[in-house]
Amino acid sequence: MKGSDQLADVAAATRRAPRDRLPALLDVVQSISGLALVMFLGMHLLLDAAILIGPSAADAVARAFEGQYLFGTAHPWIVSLAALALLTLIVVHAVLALRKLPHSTREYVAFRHHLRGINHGDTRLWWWQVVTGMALFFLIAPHLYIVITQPETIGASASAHRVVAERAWVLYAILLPVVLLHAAAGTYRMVVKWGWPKLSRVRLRPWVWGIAGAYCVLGLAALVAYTILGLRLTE
Amino acid sequence: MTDQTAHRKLSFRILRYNPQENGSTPRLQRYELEEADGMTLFIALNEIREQQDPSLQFDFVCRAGICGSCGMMINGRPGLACRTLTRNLPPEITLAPLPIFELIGDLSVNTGRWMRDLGERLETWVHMKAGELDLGHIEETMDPDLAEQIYLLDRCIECGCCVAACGTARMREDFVGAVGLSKIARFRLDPRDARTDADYYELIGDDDGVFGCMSLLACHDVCPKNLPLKTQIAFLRRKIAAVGIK
Repeated sequence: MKGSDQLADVAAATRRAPRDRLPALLDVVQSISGLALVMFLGMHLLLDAAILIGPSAADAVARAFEGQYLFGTAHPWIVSLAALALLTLIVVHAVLALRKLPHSTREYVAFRHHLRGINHGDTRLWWWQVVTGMALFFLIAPHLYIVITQPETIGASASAHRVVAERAWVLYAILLPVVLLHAAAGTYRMVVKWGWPKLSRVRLRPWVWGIAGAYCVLGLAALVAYTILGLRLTE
Repeated sequence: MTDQTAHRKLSFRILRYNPQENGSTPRLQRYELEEADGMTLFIALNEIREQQDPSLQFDFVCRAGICGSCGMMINGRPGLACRTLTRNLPPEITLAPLPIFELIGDLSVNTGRWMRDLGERLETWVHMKAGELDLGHIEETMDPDLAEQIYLLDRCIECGCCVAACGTARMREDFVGAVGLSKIARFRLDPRDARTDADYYELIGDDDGVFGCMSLLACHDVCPKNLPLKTQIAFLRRKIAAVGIK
């Protein structure tokens, strides 16, 4: 067989081979995992705000997640398990998102040069999504480590003690705006990426940033409430 | 009191580099010009070339935003020189060639080769069923609304602005860009094309295709023809993803 015939056969075989379905799956899982994390974050911050009602409300929420009202006694390991599941989801989301990041110095320099030159809001927002995503690797790790290893210390008094005496307020004060910026940018991108719900970017932006801002205020208020309670406890 | 009708003095900083010339190194060259009423960058560049520097290279054909030849980076943003009024720019204007494409010299790039490679790779022509081509047969009529939708996407002039504005394309040279995706969207609409979504998945169902798009949407924002790239790419992503996860 001539060399050119062999090449033609190889080309035909390559052409007939169906393309891997994995890229579609990865793209969909990246969005679904992001959506799940955003929904979790929304619920988490709302429940954190129970401290604004009072310490007993915060304790009631903590005990509810430990299965107190389901099994009659509290089982903090349920919280550990849930946190481990959440960590798995975060890892899946992060690994999938890493595919999109610059992979080499050449790509990094090319993107930074492009970013500076084009002066485009949505391109800049993506970069902030990357920066906050990278920061979250380090900020979420200590937060989840505490939840996984010390689930029994979640409650009004113990959490307030952690916030003030163990100076966890520093971590939470940084984590809150960073995670909200990442979640808001991710939600915005997911809507424009899939084209659903059908909203123009001009109409979408106030919704996304308005909700993120409201959550930031709520989260900061809860942090202040825990700090006040923690200060009272140390006195 | 200042004269409100006085024309501004425009200062152009133009990237000069001729890769064909031995010893040529990239540099920014400054030109000054008095602004005229209704002046476009195309007019300004011609004036510079005629009166100050005949060696300045840039492309143009139609002067009306139809041929897509005069795409360039205008103060860091891709745009057509013939469609850009100097009055909408600050007095200091920096011009550079579109990145990604092969540089011919100064502001002139070879978008044609890139677009041709893209067309061959994505098979951007109507694929009729085998044996269907009958030149003696009268072509099927097309619904006017559908024809209008196809025409809307066919308005792409392949100027390369969307590619130059794309952060993904700047990082990954194999990414097909909004121009590639909008072409697939165009053939997908065409009832004469026998290809299915599964066939299109073979062409754009990976990270060099629709799944590589990070929805930065600068393509949509700079398109001189105002093509609905955001909507088309999102629609295509839904359809192609559906094939992949079936």
